[in-house]
Amino acid sequence: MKAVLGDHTLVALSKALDALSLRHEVIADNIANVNTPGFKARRVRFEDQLKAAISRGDPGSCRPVIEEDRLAARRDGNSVDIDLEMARLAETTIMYSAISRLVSDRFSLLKYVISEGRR
Amino acid sequence: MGIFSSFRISATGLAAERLRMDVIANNIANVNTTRTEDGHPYRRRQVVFQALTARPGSGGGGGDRSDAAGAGLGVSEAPGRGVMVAAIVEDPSPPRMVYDPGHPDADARGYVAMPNVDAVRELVDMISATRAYEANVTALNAAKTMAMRALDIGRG
Repeated sequence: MKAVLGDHTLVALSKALDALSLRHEVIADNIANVNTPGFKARRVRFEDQLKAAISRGDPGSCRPVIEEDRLAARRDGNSVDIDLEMARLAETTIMYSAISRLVSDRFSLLKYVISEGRR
Repeated sequence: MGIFSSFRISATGLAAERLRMDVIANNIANVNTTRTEDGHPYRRRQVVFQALTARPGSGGGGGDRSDAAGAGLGVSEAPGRGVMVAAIVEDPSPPRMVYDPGHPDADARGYVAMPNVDAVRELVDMISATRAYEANVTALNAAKTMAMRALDIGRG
């Protein structure tokens, strides 16, 4: 029998929250360095890794990857595209909210079962 | 990686852009200053930004971006730590020579060495600094929203 609080759904969701938080950190770093010459924007990829980890049956083994965007779009060698960063920032915040709601719902479900269907 | 590290990263961006704004304001204030302590007219100052990297040995790969670039993979494990102002440097370009024989600082031929500050360029830099500041504020607010969402897990 699987552990009630350590089941795959909760582990996968918390891994996604961790990765989104890391992604937000990297976006904040990109935005802070929007005027730093030679700075290369960085991206966090975790979706494919999480998918692979879930299909292996061990979502806890998901490791997000940080990649550098090596294309210099500007003459000062900086590759930060501020519009792209703001869009990704909004996306990351919304995804984080959505997944944290899923975690909450998961706990509500457990609570419902624990209280034998009574409120 | 902590819950407040995004806050700190955005704060470094805010501090750096604010300092840049201070330097720009100083340039504009001194657009006509012909005397300084060094004897020459005021020189335009500009800030030099430098990316802050994770402390070496704080987990993940090497903290230095140049090392990560040298690895050829383009992958570095630790996220950056924001930005810092490495230096405030003077613009070495020559002063603007203005013909004004009545000026007390005019030379023998009647020319005054005015600061190499271009007011239009300073205003453009000011807009750039303002927008960058706003972008950092947005990132900070997003971090706040995410932290509050995380706090709401398990309630209700």
